[in-house]
Amino acid sequence: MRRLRSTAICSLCFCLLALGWILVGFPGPSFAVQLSENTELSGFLRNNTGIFTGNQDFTENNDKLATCRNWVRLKLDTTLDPAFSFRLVTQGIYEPKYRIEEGSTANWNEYDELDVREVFFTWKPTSSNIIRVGRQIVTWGESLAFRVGDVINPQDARFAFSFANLEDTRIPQWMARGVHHLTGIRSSFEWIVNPPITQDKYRVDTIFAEPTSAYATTTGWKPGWRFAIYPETRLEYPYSVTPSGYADGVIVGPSLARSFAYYNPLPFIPGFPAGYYPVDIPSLTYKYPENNDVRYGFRTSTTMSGYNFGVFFWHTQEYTPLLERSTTTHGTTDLGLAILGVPGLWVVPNREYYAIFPDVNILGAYVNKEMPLGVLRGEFTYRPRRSYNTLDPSDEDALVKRDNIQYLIAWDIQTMCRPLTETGTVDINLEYHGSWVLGDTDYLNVAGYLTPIRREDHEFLLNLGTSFDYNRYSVGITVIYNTQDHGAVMPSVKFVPDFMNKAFSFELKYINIFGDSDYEGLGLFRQKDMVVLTSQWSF
Amino acid sequence: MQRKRKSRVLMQVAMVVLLLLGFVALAPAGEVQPGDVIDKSNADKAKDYFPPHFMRWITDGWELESPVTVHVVAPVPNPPPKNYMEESKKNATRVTLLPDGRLEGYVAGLPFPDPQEPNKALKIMWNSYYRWRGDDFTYPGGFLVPGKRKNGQLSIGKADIHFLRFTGRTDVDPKPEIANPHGLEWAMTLDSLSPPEWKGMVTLIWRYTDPTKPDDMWTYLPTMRRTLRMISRERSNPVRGTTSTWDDYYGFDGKLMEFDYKLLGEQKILAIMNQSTLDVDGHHPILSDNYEIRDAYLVEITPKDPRYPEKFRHVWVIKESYWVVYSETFDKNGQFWKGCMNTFHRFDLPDGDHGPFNTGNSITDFKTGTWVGNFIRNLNLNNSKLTPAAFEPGSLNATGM
Repeated sequence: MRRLRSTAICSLCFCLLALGWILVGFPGPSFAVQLSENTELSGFLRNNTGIFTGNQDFTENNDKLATCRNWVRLKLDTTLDPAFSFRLVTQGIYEPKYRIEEGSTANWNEYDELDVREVFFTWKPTSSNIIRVGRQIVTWGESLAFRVGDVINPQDARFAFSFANLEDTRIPQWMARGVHHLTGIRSSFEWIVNPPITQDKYRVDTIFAEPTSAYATTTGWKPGWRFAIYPETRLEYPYSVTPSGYADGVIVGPSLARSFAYYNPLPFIPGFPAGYYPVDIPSLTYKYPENNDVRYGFRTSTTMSGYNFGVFFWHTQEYTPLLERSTTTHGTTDLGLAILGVPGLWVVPNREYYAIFPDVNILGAYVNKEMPLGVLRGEFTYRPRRSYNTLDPSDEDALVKRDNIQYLIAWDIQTMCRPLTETGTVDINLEYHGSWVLGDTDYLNVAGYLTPIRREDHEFLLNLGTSFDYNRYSVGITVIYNTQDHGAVMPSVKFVPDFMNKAFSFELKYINIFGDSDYEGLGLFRQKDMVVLTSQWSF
Repeated sequence: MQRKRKSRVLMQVAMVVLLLLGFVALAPAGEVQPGDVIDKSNADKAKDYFPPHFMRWITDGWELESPVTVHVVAPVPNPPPKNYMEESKKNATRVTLLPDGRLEGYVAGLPFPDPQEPNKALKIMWNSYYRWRGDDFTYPGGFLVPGKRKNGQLSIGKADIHFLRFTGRTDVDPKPEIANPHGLEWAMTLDSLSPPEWKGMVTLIWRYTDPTKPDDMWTYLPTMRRTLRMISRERSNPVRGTTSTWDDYYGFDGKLMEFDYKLLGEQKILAIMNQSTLDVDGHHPILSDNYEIRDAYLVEITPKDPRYPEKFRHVWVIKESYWVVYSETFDKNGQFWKGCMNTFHRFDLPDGDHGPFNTGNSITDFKTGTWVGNFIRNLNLNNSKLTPAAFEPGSLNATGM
């Protein structure tokens, strides 16, 4: 509690200092800083402070500070001549050392960064042609909350929790991009070439990097990170892929479900559950995409008879790795000797596994149209022969191919609700997102875990919001519901004072997560309810 | 006999006096002349030259702002350019008003250069709909969008508009139409430059030549880096956290076929038709500037849709250029709700001609005591080099900042 207070005081001091700097440096109305006639500087300072509302049982203390993230983002736009412009976006993030993570393997500056987020040149040789080269973010698709056609930029899992917006979770990519307007046929054509030049820090996938998943146990081995899955009984039999206790000297890699004998039990040691029998001792090697694994694709946009529609294609690699079981082994490990002291009883090979990022082609289509009662949006993607991990013991490399389709149907309504509010519209967004794996789904599992991949998945989103008093106050609620009985309810209140030309905003959000399953979807986070205050100054 | 004649004379005199009194009552309260300065001390003199709500701007500033001083000057004509007026003349025999209210044979200019009954009110509003405002324009450096509430500042915004007329073009080649498979009359983008919460937002609006077809609208949201299809049919919804609706802009910017019109009369009004300077700070909704006497039509506009939040609206349309200079909006109960004032300036055109363009606009919500204004400081008219490609939804993601 004392630490929480001191962290909060530190953050408060930081905010006050920042505010002082703002007031000294920007005493006038909040416009972007005009550095010269053609150069403008804008940006924001932001703080997210969140408190868990429930106990975090698997930590070593009762601290409840969920987040205290401080951001600064600066954006420089300059127009070199009418046909040529340049943008640079830099970002700094600082988070304190969280007491709740004490004793874990969490790297306390895991989230800190000082980074060039975007940097690109835009060239407009003619009004119908735009070429943009550099590190950038591109958003395709129609969904507000789900990533169906939004396939270009991988997601930065460090910022993927509910108080960060989708935009902040995208990892900018180096790419060349062109947009060409063909007004005669009411269309435009966009192309992207994206060499997989990725900074090392983005190359660690949190599924395997997060120590909590591997080590936090009810027996108090090590506490989890603050956003680790809960309850950690997931890590115990029969759910875990990691034994809750094992002898020193036994090399156990990251959680690799395929290394355990769930579907080909070897119950030769009475009393030991099948899930505790490793069938091999894995070692893991990451095989990142090579430089010649270029990602590329295109998208069209046509507007006709009130419909705006198009198709797209994107060739890429899976952004979350799969695990390939190789035939390469490096000797054996005598587990019988190590655990039971009986040599030769239980000898398993030391097998090499690869974390791979298989190629995937994504074909998609989208449409939007204003109807008499609102706007209809829809999108669809088809991934032929997408790679999945399987626990089928007869499958050598633990990889199978299945077709996958995803789709979205959404409806937006905007109306007045006088006299409730005279200055705000009531906005309602409804989204339905479906995902299907075509073909046999037996044994398909989330890479590394026993969590099954379901043949079909259906989730719904409802956004409802309005504003009052000339946007001074906004209220909203977001409800996400998955038919597997998990989801989230997130009411929020936002205050934008008139002070300093509405440069400040304060949003208070409550995040309630529910789920019947401890091992799937948002059920993994169901004890992570929190209250988050987001304060921002923009210029 | 003499007595009888005397009483008859008295009666005749009385009738004449009564008639004169009647004339006095009907005539303007005082003859306003160039050189007059109207302020709260002599506001009554001008009361018949303004919409009713405007007088309080002169007497007490509606207790929102300081009172306004009106400088009456000799009128300087500010008509549309010659090309446009020549096209208008052709419409006298070219354009027909169909029974359903649509136009037949319209190409460019004022559809009804000399509107007459029947349906005179609708013809006036068609003229206003097709009023001259250039074939293309932008506001280099953006225009000011100040907003204030009774006891404080709301915000000072900046925005820019890129406007391109596809049909009815009279000044810039190609004329009268740009090849246009979408069937657009015009398209525009509204680019928000400030305050920070709106910065980078770009709204694209398509207006079709078919007056029965709803607009289409998309908005690029920088916070989501995504172009969203917007609901454009609900033109009575408030725009960006104000009480101003899409239909409120320019005094009245509604879809013409969705309303009924009634001509209430003609009136001489005082209006800023030649704004003396564009260097206004935008901290007052009504300019204390040079006002000129103009002839105007007073039209009552009634929505056909019973859900529409207004009972009716009065607009003052000047005969010279068919711009709306004032409007008054009344809520469902018939209570006065909002007032709008537009100001104008005579701009030089690249071809050497001149034209009237709207330089200031303010919409005041008298129920809540709040106003939002738009004041331009710079105008690039008929010389913006805009092309249709800039108005494709697919371009917003690529160009949106």
